[in-house]
Amino acid sequence: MKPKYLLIPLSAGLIFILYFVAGLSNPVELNSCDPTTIANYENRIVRLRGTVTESRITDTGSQLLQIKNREDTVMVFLQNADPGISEGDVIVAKGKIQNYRGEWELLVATDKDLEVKRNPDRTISLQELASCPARWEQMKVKVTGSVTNPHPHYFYLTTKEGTHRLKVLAPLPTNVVANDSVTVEGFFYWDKEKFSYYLDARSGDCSVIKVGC
Amino acid sequence: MLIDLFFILLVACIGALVGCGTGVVVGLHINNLSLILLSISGIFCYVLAPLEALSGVDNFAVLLFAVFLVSAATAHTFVNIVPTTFLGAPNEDSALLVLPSHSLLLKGRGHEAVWLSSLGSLGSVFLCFALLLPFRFLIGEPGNLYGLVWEIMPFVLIALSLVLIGTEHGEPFREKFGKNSIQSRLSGIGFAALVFSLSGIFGVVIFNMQVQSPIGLPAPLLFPALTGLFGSSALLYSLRHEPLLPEQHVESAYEVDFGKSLKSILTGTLSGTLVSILPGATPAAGTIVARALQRENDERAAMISISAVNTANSFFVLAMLFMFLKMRSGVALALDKVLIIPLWDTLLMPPSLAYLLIGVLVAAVFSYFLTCWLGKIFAVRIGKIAYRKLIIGAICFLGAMVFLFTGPKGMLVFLTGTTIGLLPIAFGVRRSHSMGVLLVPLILTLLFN
Repeated sequence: MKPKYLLIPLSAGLIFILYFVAGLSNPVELNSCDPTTIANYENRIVRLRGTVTESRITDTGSQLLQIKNREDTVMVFLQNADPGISEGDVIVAKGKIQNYRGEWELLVATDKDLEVKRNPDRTISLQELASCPARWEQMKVKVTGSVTNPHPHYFYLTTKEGTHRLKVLAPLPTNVVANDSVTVEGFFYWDKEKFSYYLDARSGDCSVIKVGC
Repeated sequence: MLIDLFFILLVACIGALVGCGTGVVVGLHINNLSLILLSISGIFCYVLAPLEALSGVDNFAVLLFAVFLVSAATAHTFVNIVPTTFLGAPNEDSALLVLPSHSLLLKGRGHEAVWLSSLGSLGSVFLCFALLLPFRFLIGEPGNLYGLVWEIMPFVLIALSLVLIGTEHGEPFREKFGKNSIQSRLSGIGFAALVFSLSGIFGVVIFNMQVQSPIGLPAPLLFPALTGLFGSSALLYSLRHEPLLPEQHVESAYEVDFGKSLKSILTGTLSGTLVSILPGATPAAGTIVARALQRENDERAAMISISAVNTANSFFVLAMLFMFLKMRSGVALALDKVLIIPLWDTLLMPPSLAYLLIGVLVAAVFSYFLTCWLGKIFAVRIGKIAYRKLIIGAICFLGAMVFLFTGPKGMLVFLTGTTIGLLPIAFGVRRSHSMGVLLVPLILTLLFN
């Protein structure tokens, strides 16, 4: 065989080796959002973990999150906003550290570089549920609101201002009456026939608890 | 005020000189240069702060630094043809220039290659000025073609790749199938597809790879990849076959066909403009588009066209910064850090953009003459050095630069790129198929992100 034909398997072999080396060179996971630590990784791809303390969606459809890890915070910039990310969620984001107008931020390119661990004990508001209901569909959620229109087998949960209303399939506890504030833990579903969402809190692992009890 | 203009012109000339100096340094990309210059911005502005009292412009010292940066960057795009031609050592954006420039070098026309490249870059600057307003109104308000370009670009690149492979004329297996036979032609296309695929897989594998410079320099992974594919592979092959480097002819100017040159400048400028719109698309992608529009054996047209791409790209990246506040290059990022960038959404451009464009124009004219002079120096001296020693020296230098910038993992990338780069040379198909290293990851990114 002519020597030049060896170039083909040699190229393929080197690509194979490179593939494994690339896999081994995973981005560094930073344990802290301390500015001094962050500054050492400018323009490098790193992985950061933190709890979301602020979330803002920009006019261009991207999202700015402030995350906290231990005592320090850092901004995370998502090219494509994820309205389902809220305060209290824990995120693990991979991106490039950059300094934008004097502030350190992690630039996350795609949603594949973002892992969101929703806080299961976090209670969400009706407004938050309404802002992106599809995000919560078929998930177990914990929602607070005021009781209105109580019936034997269901009631409505509304905001104080009366802007949002959600049907809850569950009997009210005996100590709860209309206008009481409650926290309902149940499964969030879409009713195809009635074209509306509802919360099913009838199963044993769901609950309706009066706030303050 | 005249005194403002005087200092802007002076700083532009100094910036051009610096850019010409850095342009001959192998491996120093314009993005790296911007970071280095940004690190001295504080000292620069401090030294020039007294000029603010003489000027009627706010933050004059900062503006002067921005002009210096842009001028250096423009000059850099002119002069980096010199190491590309005489050492076969391209940076990531001039990779495709190695092929025609090396070919001309081996015909004793290395200086002509440098001259043609300078002509392409200078012509592109003038054309860019002419296209600036139409670009502003077509891509921005009211044309709003920005989104359309984004949407069609992956399909343009896919079509381009298919055309490049399908038009392969090489016949690597002509001895077996017979010259000009259908099987021989098809085997050439098949081999071209193999080179494209291997380099494409290579590009995908290294796309998110992290490397680190052992001495803390910026670590661009495309540098070892493209240097291996187009630089060291060609040098190694030359070493094996030991071509004699003929005496280099040096003239003050060369004859050019005006119409062909204008067409080359136009194709290059338009290609460079197109890729300035897309994030993640380097000027190297624009050189592929420009190269596809040229005839394979028209080296002179290729030199002009590809050089025009790089210069046009650096020009319109500046325009993109002011039109959309989008940063598409290291220079734009550096400018954003030092200057407040006003949005250009009216007919008249912001004054700061006008000053920067003055810097570009001055640097372009200055660099044209300086590049030709540097090319003459190199052409005269290269004949006095044994070519074999020069090639070995160039390969070692490239290896050293790769290691310093990207460390041991970068060396592995360099070695892989060199091996893949040898394939088209050894089998007699076009080396531009190795641009799959950029095209495949770019197409995938545009389609799926």
